[in-house]
Formats: sequence, structure tokens, C-alpha cells
Amino acid sequence: MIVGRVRVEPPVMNASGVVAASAAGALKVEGAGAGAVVTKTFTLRPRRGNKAPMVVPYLGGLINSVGLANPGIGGIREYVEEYRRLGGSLPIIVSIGGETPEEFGELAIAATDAGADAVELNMSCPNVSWTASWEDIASIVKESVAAAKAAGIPVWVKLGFGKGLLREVKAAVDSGADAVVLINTLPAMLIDVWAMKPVLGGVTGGLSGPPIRPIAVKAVWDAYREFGDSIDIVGVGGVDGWEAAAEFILAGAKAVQVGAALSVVGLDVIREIADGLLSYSKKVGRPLEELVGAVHRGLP
Amino acid sequence: MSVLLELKRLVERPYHRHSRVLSVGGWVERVDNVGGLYLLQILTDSPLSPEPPQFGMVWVPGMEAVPMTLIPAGEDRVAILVRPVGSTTNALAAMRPGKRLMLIGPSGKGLRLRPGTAVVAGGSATTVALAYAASGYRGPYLVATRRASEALALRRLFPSSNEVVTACEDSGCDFLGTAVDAIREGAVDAGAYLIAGPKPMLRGAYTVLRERGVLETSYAVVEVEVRCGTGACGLCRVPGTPYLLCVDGPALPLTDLAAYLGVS
Repeated sequence: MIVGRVRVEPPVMNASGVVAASAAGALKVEGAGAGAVVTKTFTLRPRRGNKAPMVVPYLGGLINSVGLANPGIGGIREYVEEYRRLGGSLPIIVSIGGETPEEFGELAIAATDAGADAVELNMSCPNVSWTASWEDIASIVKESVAAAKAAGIPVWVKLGFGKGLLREVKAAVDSGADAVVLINTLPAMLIDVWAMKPVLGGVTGGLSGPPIRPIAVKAVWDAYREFGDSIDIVGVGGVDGWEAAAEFILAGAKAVQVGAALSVVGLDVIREIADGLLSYSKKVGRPLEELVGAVHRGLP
Repeated sequence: MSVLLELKRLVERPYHRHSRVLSVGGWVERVDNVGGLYLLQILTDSPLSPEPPQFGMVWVPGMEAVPMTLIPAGEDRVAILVRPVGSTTNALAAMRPGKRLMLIGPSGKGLRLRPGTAVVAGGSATTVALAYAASGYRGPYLVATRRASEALALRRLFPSSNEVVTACEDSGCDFLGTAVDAIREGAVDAGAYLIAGPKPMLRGAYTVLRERGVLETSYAVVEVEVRCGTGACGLCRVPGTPYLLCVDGPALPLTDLAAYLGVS
């Protein structure tokens, strides 16, 4: 499947920030049978992230407040080169987190120079202060995509669920983004009632996993209904098996990313999803490409 | 009908699959001072069922969570052995029965030892030996500490049927010297070893076990910085290896650790 100008076969990847924080983690994702690897989000400056607990299992998913821990822009080249040196052969999608469109542009150039296959603009992390301060996210999306595209690399945009989501997807479409990744974790919080304190080291965080899947499927469904094939969609949020992946594909996604399940269930879930999708496609007698958005066309 | 049955088989699985890692609240049930260390028995809200040498992130409300080896202590209970060295471990050591905490785990993989494997544990990793003893493994064990008082207090936590040798750097233990000295001198003689301890100890053990030709059958419990403890953040890479501690470890084959330990 060609997704956002990148061949992703099978159409299953890890979600940014999960397992593939290092080249060693990326190789694990590759070994588990993914069709592409998505890096941890790189920011311009290094970030240590929040205190532990930064990840808490919850209702079959996770609440995290990792806070984009990463070595900064200099880590991009190191990551990509080490992955290739160790024999990694999958397309590599470098996730980047800028505070401004200019920073997205700078990070995209670094990813391009390092040999990345695409960049994923993380415009929706709930664990950093700058995304919360953006008043008009659609405008930021437009300017950031334009800045990143100038680097000459396929641009994917990861968005969070909210009232303005379709406006943001439209901004991505209008500015020539190659794919949107829907959706990021949902803002969340966990309180231990006996301790009477927030559990996460970052106090608040982002919820992922099966609890958010119906919301994520709805977001993909909405975006596909509104924009059809004018932009590729990658579905993410609670993909923990092939049925969940199939839901996203039927709603309009060309590929899925797996996040919480890699930790909660284990890395083997990637191969289960890939094999399961193939088997499902055979059972229903249609290739996966034909099943993208099928629910909108009333198949069978 | 057969197609329907096949379809049913395809979709027949729990909506939420069994989670590998859980977050479970717990209550401190008992605290024992063990030669300057603190053994906390914790009653958990639901079972964690750790298999040695799995660990968990231990959260004291309001403080940074820290990774600690989980010692099986029966259904709905686990224990942890605390060496008070930082703010969270000092807070744990000061806890009294009835206090609340949370455990996130079990993290990493359990490692079932083949009979006769010697468990050599030193420093703060002596808790790994206790975890194996609590799970029914009979040993042999080598418990190595700096002070005899600590080693002898720990010795009392093992069932009397276990074979336990103590080593320390002052008099009073079965062996006078470090864990590596004890292995070299044959204080515990085995065809396979599980070594748990600080990096210099692992490095020394690597060399001795290679000389004795038992490297291929031996493992080491590795300590690296752990941030999330679940394998999700992927930051727990063991340098020089393809391993993530929270996913593949904490026990790793010694033969794969040469680069990490800096031995040629």
C-alpha cells in the first residue's frame, strides 16, 4: 500500500513514541513484521521528559506523560544512520515536534538530510505546553506543512481529536500534506483516590489504547467522508488486533499505527494484525485497497 | 455452516486482551528492617503475579516512581526490598502499615532457571535472589554485600532448605571477599549462573565465567536507567545490545553483554 507517498507493506506501523525510541527499538518493530517504522518525536532542543510514572496501564490502554523525551535535532541523523547500519531496511518516518512552523521546517530538513522517507509532524502532543497555547491550530498546520514540504520530503501530519479536527485536516489538504495521522492521545488524568493525588509525574497526560478506539475510528470516518481520496489517512488509537485495524481501514484509513498494544499486549501484535488483515481480505474476497473507506460505499 | 464457524473462530477473542503490564494500587502491610534494608510486604488491589526477575515501577504518592524487583509473596501480595538511597526509597523506608502506593508492572520477562543454576546477587540486586527464593527456587545462592551484618540479615529471609552462601568484605560471612572473588574461588560451583549486581560486578563475573567455560549457559540481571517501566517509551536500551530492558530483560544472556560490559 502506498501511504502518503511511502510504500508501507504491510500497512501496519508503530505509533510514534512507542518502542522505537532508539534504533534498537526500531529494529524490534521491523522484526515484529511492520511495514514502516515511526521514530520518537524529535524536537529542536533536547528534552528529558517528565518524571515517572510517565506511563500507566489503564483499561487495556495507557495513560502517558512522557513529555517528548528526546535528544534534540542532532539525534535524528544518529538514529537514522544507526538503524541503517544495523541492517534496518524499512521506510523510516521521522516524527518531529516544532514549537513554530519555522522549527518544523528546520527539523524536516534535518530528517531529509539524514535519509528519512517521510516526516510526521506531531501537532497534537497533549504533554507539552506549546500545543496547548496554539489558538488557531489550522493556521499552524498550514504554515508548518508548507515549511516542512520545502525540505522535499513526504509530509504526514498527526492531529488530535477535537472540535476543529476537520478544519485542521482541511488545512493539511490545502497545504499539500501527503497524509494525516488520526488521532493522537486524548488529554487525560488519573487520580489515586486513596492517596488523593494525581498519579502521573507530569500530572496530566494522554490516553491511548482501546478506550479511545471508537473516537479515533469516528475521526477517520469523518475525515474520509469529508475529503475522500484527496489525502491519505493513517488510523491510530486502540489498534490491538486485526479487527480494530480493519475498522480503521473500512472507515477510510490506508494504514494503521499501533501504540499502546505494543506495550500492553506485546510486539507480536504487529504480525497478528498484518496476517489477520490479509486473511480478512481473502475471506471477504476483496483486496485491502478496495476496502479503504468501504463503509462509506455501503459494501458489500 | 463451516464458514460461519470459521468466522466465529476468527472474531472470538476478548475485547480487551490480557494486559502484560498492569497498574495496581497497594497498601503497605508490614515493614521489616533487614540489616539496614527495608522489606515491605504489600497487599495489592488485584494480583500482579510477577515471575523473577521481573520488576515494577513503585510509586509513592507525590514522588517519582522507581523501578524495583518484585518479590512474589502469595496471591494479592508482593514484597519489595528497599535500600534507602534517594528521596523515593527513603520515603518507602519510612512507610508504615496502611500507607498507600502503586505498582506498575510486572515489567520485563521472567526467567525460569534450570535446576542447579547458581544465583549470585550483590549490592542492591540481592533482592533478585530473594525473588527466586520466594518463587520456590532452591538455589544455590551466593549473597554478597559489603557488610556482614547485611548479608547475615538477608540470609535469614531465605527458607532454611535453601543453599545460601554469604560473602562480604568484613568478617562474619561464609566467604571473605567480593562476589567475583567468591565465584573465582568456587564458593558456589555450578554449570550455569545468574548474576545480579552492579556493572563492575557483572564485568568481573563475565571474565571469570568465561575462563570457566560457562558463559553460554549464564545470564546477568542488568540495570540501566528505566523511565516508564512498561516498554512503551523505549528509552531503556541496554547500550551495545539490541535489547530494551523493560521488554527483553532484566535478565539477559551474558554472551550478548560483552560490548555493554566493555570486555573484549
